[in-house]
Parts: sequence; structure tokens; C-alpha cells
Amino acid sequence: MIIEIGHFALVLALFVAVVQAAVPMAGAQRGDAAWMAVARPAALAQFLLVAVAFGCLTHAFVTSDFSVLNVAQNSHSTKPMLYKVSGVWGNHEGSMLLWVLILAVFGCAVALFGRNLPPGLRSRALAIQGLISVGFLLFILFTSNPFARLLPAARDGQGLNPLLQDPGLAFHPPFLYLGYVGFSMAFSFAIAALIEGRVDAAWARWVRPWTLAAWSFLTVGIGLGSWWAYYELGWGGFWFWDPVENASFMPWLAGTALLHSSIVVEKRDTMKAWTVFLAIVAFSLSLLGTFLVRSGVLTSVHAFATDPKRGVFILILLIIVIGGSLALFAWRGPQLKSTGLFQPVSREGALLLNNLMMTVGTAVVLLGTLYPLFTDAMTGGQSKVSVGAPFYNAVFVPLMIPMIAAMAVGPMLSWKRGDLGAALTRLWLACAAAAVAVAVTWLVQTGGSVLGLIGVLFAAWLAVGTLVELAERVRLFRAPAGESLRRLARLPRAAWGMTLAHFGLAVVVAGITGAGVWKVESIQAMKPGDSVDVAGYTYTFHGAQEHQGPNYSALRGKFTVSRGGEPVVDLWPEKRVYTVRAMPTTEAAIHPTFWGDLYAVVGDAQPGGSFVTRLYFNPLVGWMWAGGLIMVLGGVLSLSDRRYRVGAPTRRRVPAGAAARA
Amino acid sequence: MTVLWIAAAVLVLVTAALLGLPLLRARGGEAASRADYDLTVYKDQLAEIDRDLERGLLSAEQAEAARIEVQRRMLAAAPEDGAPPAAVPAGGRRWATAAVLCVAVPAAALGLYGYLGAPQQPDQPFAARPAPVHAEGRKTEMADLVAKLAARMEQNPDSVEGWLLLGRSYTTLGRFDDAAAAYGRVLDLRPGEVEVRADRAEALVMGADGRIPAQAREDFRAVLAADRANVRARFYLAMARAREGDDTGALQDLVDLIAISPRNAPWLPTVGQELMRLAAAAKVDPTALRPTAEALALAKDLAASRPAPPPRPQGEGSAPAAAAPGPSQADVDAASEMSAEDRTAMIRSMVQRLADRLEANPDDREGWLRLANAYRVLGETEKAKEAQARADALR
Repeated sequence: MIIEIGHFALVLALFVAVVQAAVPMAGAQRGDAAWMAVARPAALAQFLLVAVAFGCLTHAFVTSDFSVLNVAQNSHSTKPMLYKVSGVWGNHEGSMLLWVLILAVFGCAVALFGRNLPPGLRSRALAIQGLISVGFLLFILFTSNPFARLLPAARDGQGLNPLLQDPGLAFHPPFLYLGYVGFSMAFSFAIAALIEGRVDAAWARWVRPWTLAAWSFLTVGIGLGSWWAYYELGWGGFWFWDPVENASFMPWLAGTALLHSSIVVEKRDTMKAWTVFLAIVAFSLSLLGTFLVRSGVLTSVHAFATDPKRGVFILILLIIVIGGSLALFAWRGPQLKSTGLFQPVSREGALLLNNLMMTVGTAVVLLGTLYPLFTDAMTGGQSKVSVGAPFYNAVFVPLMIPMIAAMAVGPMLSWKRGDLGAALTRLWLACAAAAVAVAVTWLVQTGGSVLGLIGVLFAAWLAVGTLVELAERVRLFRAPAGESLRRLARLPRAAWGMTLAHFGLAVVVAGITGAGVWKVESIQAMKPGDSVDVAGYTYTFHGAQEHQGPNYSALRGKFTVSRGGEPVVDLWPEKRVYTVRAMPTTEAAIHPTFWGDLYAVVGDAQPGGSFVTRLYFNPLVGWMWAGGLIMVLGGVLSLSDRRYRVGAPTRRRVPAGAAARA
Repeated sequence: MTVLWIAAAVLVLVTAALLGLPLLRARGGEAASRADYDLTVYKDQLAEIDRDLERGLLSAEQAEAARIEVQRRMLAAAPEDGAPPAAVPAGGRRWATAAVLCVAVPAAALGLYGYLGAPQQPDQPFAARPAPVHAEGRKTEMADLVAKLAARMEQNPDSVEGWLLLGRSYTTLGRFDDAAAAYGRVLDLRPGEVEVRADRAEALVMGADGRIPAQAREDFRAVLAADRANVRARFYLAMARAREGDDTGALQDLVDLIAISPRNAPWLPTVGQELMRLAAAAKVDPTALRPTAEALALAKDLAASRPAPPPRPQGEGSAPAAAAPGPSQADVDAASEMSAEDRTAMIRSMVQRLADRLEANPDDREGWLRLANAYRVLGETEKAKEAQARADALR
């Protein structure tokens, strides 16, 4: 019964979404407060119904109800409970339902916490949210219904991809979706603003927290994804410029640009149309990401042909959302008048530069992601082009270099008209630190690479530059220490957010440089008792034994690692075979240290009792995720800034029936 | 069904209440104009400039410039907003809207659900369904166990029980030649085991794809000499005769076999089928066939000695305890003709029989091991563990 209750709730949610899309919008256009008031309870009802549906599907997964097609295809009775639950969103249908659930959560949040929003803006934004919901619910119910039944029921499920049976990946999609869907709020506000024909400081102030939240979630999602790739795929890599990764990276780049341009709208009442455009782009890329990843189009355009119903629906939805919003933008965008003027060298100018680099970067990634699809479609699958790391290293990395160079300077410039010379003078410390860091790296590194030096240069420049900006703000060494401390304590949280996020990026850059340039790799066949030296550590292999896990059998190897005769750690890498799908996975053994990770993988047994082993030293790799966490912390701190807790205005009384008279 | 409709009704009511009530309850006088909202933000921005000035983040002149800019925006916001704020219309239209929403939304949802859903289908959670028998898993698991057992027998070649178990296991796995060899080891140790001899002969027949090799014939003759009523020996010897072209003799043997069998013996359908087939081939009227006097006399003797339930063709005490509760050939024959469900039921009843026996006679380690194995095959891990523990306790 429960599964059918969920199905009914989802169908009901569709029609509530129709109401949410139509009634408040009509009310806002006609000045009918009663109709506008439907927006909030509709968003609430929408959330309740989708939550019921999601709960029912989860129940089906938890109880392994194989009379539900989706459960039979994606779950198995012997799976650990955690992965039964994460299996709910580990497939196309369930992930779409999660998407709509998160959309409803955001809509509900606007309904509950949006009291300080002007009713017109709120109603219109919620109506747009409702419209997005309608599109997704139609898509789910008619092409990807998670509640479709399988009768007679399957004996047992077909299991979940064992690669996905991992906590890192279990919680990676929800965060990504929180990010993707979060941009739908910025999008809804942007469309509402276009309909109203006005974007002002107040608008920017209401949009920014939603963007900030979405950006923080997306950062966590991307971080979790690359972390999973690092320890589960067993190649010591963390980012492969894979289309699936790019799909989450593009909205992040566009969202980062949006985050910065909305500051300009709020503070300086300019760059309005551009900000609205970015909001549309960020959400469009999120949609593209959601669909391209889940529909399998990225692996081949022919996925459309194998399931034309789904593919055509996706195409139509994308055309309506992206085409429709861009058309609306072309029509109403020019009416958005900016008042603030600024010089090229100014805070605004620096933020504009950031936007420029971010959007060009986004375009590059988009090109790299879609180009293979185009050639595939054009040549009918005859020529498979793959765009990989060399392309991005050659195009994307050079784009980021001037951006990071400018990142340390931007916050030092004042609004309207900045003094570049003065800013650079104050950054002498950062220059010096960068020079020292490069010199030290030059001395330490063996087999020198220019790329490594560049990475260290800019990481040090950005990190110290960010700290210099903070020191400037609190007048460190210029005012008495007590005064500086007092200023530090009373710094607005948004300022802390900026400092942390920029500093976090510097740490990330250092991590990427270290793991990308100085990775030490050693692949060999080892017999028990053999030793190999990798980056100054001696790995001694002690053989590998069979080992039985709850739903897999594994070959577990043992290494003892020592350095200069001192024992460091024992590593136990595994090679697992999950019984249900007979699919092998590697479980790398990782020993993280401050300066890098010791990383060991055991492979197949070779004739003569030896095993293929892969040993890595990944310098600074942990810094990447630490930096990501610092960035997220910055986002959260900035989100809690008191600016975003603006109260609702005192209301003035308007007699009932005023609209009727007017 | 009912639960579904009650739940659906609750969802509909909650939704209707959420959508309808704000329309009905809407009152005038609560509206603030857009300019009011903007001014609130601008006021907050002014306060922020003051805070920044106080903190020293802005210099006095920067703060003044920023203040003038915000104030200019405040002035711009106020007069521009000539349009009146949204107001609440008269009651009639609100009631109409609420009524339309509260009827149309549930009606549409019910209609679409009726098209997409399967309201009459109950949930089928895995735990509530009969445990499935995994043919594949069962086979590989068993092959592992058998390989281990075979290795153990190399160390300990004097265990009659062990060889017997190995022979039965090979038979189950379809490795009939290996099974025959294992039974042969039992016969080397105890040549007088009539049923084991029959087992070996049967394995030889199975391994020869239904032909009756000379060794098998010899075995069956020996068995029959020791036990005149042995069903398997009589059946296979009849088949051997038929193969040699002696249809009449074969038919007579089968009719005799039927005569000495109890009325409800499980092997009767098989024997009957063979009888019909041979009779048709030889163009003989099967109803005209009569058992020999010898068979009738034997039948009388057997009926007298037979206890109330019909005896299992497995001779009592002929094999040690380990063999006794296993499936007899007749059981297996009967099983091969059953539907999947019946077979599962039969296997379960046999396992239950074994379990009951072991409760009465708990010192039989081999029995516990076999029970554990049986439970494992049936997928009842908990019970398997329990049985394994009982077996281990006897070590």
C-alpha cells in the first residue's frame, strides 16, 4: 500500500505545482493579494507531498520491495542498510525524485523564511519554482516513474554498482543536488525580476544568500566526488576532467561568478543585467548537468536513441527553460538600468575581471564537454574524439592564472575608483612570500618542472595576499595590538567569509599543484618480502590473503612502510569482488600525512606468487580537500552575516477592496 | 486498498486545506508597498555604513559618499512606486477560486493516478516473501563443500560415512562417475551394504546416460539376490531387459514390481509410465498383463510385515545414521516431476524431518552438518548457523 500512497502523493504534488505556478503569478500580475497568498501554502503542500513520496520510495528500498521496478533494478536484499537507503538516489528515477524534493525544500524555505521579501517578488519567484516543479514532475511521472510496479515481483534485486557502495559516494549526489537546485532559487528570482522589470540593491540582497548556500553545497559535493575518485578508483588521481565532473564544475564556475557580481548589484547598483544573465546561466548549466549525467547522453548521444521518450522530453524541457529564460532576458533585460559608475581599476573592475575569467572558463569547460558529443553526432559515431586533461591544462589553467593574480589585489581596491599602485605596494609582503616559496621549491624539488613553480608562486601570492588584506582591515602593526584584536573580533562575517574562501582557494591551488606535478608513482610485481622505495619511504610487501566481507570477498595485501629504518605505518589495501555483480573494485590503503599521502593498491596475483602493486606518494593532496572545506566554511560564515537578516517593513494599512476600485 | 484510499483522502484534505484556507482567510489592510520593502533594505544599508565607519572599515569621507548614494536610491525608490500595492478582492471571487482549486486539484490527481498507478497491488517487502532457492548459488556453494570433503577423505580413507556422503554429494552435483567411485570405496570397506550397492549401480546408470553398464547389472542382480523386494534393482533390471529387446520380460518385471509395491508408493507413477510406454511399443494391452505367482506371494509377505506407513525403499539400518534421512531415489524421482513450488515444499518437509530426527537424537554430528548445509542451501542463514554450532559442539 505504502508504495501506492507515495505514487498518489507524487501525482497530487504535480497538480499542486500547477496551482503554485499559475495562481500566484496571475495574482501578482492582477494585483490580487488573495491569489498571491496561495504561493506560500502551495509551496508548503508541495514540500509535504514530495516528502511523502520520497519517504514511501525509501521505505520500498529499505524493505527491499522488489515489486517496485526501480528497487528490483537497483537494490538487493543483502545490501547493507546504508546502501539500501543511498540506493534511493543512486539511480536515474530516484535521483530525479530527490531533485524535486530538494526543489520543494528550497521553495518551502522561501515560503517560511521569506517574510521580508516583497510579496510580489516572493509570489512570482515561487510561481517560477512551481513551474520548474511542473516540468520535473511531468518528466518523472511520464518517463522515469520510480513507482512503476514489477508484477510478478522479482526474486531479488539486481544490486547496486559496487563502486557506488561507498559512503563518499552515498552522500555526494545529495550535496550536488542541493547545489544545483539552490541555483534554481537565484534563477527564479532572476525571472521574477525580469517580469517585474526591476533589479535593485534589495533584490541582490535577497538573491545572494540563496546563491551562497547553493555554492557552498556544490563545493562540498564536488569535493566529496573528487575525494571518492581519489580513494576508490585506485589510480591516485582525483580529477579527470570527466564529463560527469565537468557537469558539476560548470555550474560551480558560473555560480562563483554570480556570487561576486551580486555583490556589485547590492553595493553599487550596477551590473544588473549581467547578474540576471549569470543566474540564468548557472541554473541552465545545473539542468544540463543533472540531465546529461543521469540520461547517459554524455557517454554517447545514442542514449537518446535508445530511450527516445526520455531524451525528447529532456530536450524540450531544456529548450523551454534555457531558451525561454534567455528570450525573456533579451526582451526585458535592456530595461534594467544601472546607476552606479566605476573606473576600470576599482573593486567593481576587479569583480568584473573575475566574472570574465569565470565565464570564459565555464565556456571552455562546456566546449570541452560537449565537443565530443557534437563530433559523435555529426559523424554518426564514426569518430570518437575525447577531450581530456591536455586540453584543459592548455586552456583552462592559463585562464585561471591571471584570475588568481588579480584575486589578491581585488579586495585591496576601493569601490568606484581604486589605486592599483597603492594596492600593489601594500602587497609587497605577498610578493616576497611568493618569491621565497618559489626559491624554496626550486631547491627542494627534484626533476624540476616550471608548472610546479608557477603553482607554488600563485598559491603563496594568494594566501599571503589574502592575509595582508585581513591585516590591513584590522590595522595590524599600525594600531595598538588591542585595537587590532578588537577590530578583528568585530569584522563582519561576510568579510571573514571572503578571507576564508580566498585563502581556501590558495590551499586548494597548492594541493592541486603538489599532487599534479610531484606525484611519485611506482608499479611493479612484488613477492612477499620484497621492498620498494617510493619518495623516501620503503614499502615492504607481506603477501595477500583472502578475506570475507559482508557482501564481497577480498584479497587483502599487507605493506609495512618505514622511513630511514623507522616504521611508519602498516597499509592494508584490498581488491574486492562483490558477489552479486561479480564486479571487482580496488580499495586503496591511504596514510595521510601533512606533506602528502602514502597510497598503496594491491592488484592481481601473478604466476609465481607475486602480486601487481601500485604505490604512490601524493604530495599535498590532502590540502585540496582541506582548502575546499575552508572555502565552504567561508561560504557558511558569509551566509550567517547579519545583512541577510533584514526585517520585514512595518506595514501600512490598506482598505480591503482597493484593487477592485483601482 | 482501504488503507490506500484513507491515506489518499488525508493527503487530499491536507492539500485542500492548505490551498483553500489562505484564500478564504485573506483580509485587507496587511499590504505594504514594494517601496516599503526597499526602504527597509536601504535603511539597513545606512546602518551598516555607520557600523563600518565605527569599526574603521570606512573613512569618514568614504562613508559620507556611500551614505549619499544610498539616500539617492531611497529617494528614487519612493516616488517611482505610483502603483497601488496589491489588495484583497471581494469575497465572492475568493470563494470561487478556493472551490475550484479544492475540487479540480484532487479530481485531476485521482484521474492521473488512476491512469498511472496500480492501486490494487499490495507492497511485497522481501522479508514477507518465501525465501527463494538460488539454483546457481546452491550449486557453487555445494561444489566447494564437496571439494573440501573429498580432500578430507584422502586423509581419512576409512570413514564409511564420509565416502557415503561424498557419493551422495557427487550424485547431487551430477558427477555420477565420481559418485560411483565413492560408493565403490564404501563397498570395499563393507561389501554387504545392499543399498549402497544399489546406489553405485544407479550412479553408473546415470553416468552412462540411461544405458545399463555391465557392472551396474551385476550390482543390481546382487542386490536383488539379497533383497527380493528391492525396488530399484527390479526397476533397472526391467529397463535393462527392455534395452536388450526382451519387451515381454520387461513388461512382466514391471507388472510384478507394481504388484509388490504399496498402493501409494511414490515410484508408482514412474513405473506406470514406463509400463505404458513399453506396452505401446510392443503393441501389448497393458491391462491384460498379470503378475506372476511368485510376485503375488512376495506381495502378501511384504504386506504382512509392512507397518502402517509404507516402508521407504531405503532398507532400515542398511546404511548408518548419516544416510537414513537423506532423500531416497523415489523422493528424487517424485521431485523431478513436481512443479517448482511442490519441490520446494518437499525439500522443506525433508529438511524438517531431518531437523525433527536430530532433536530426538542430538548426538549425530554428521546429521547436524547436513542440516546446516540444507539450511544454507535454502537461504536460511540463521538456522544454518545454529545447526553448524550444534555440529561444532559435538567435535
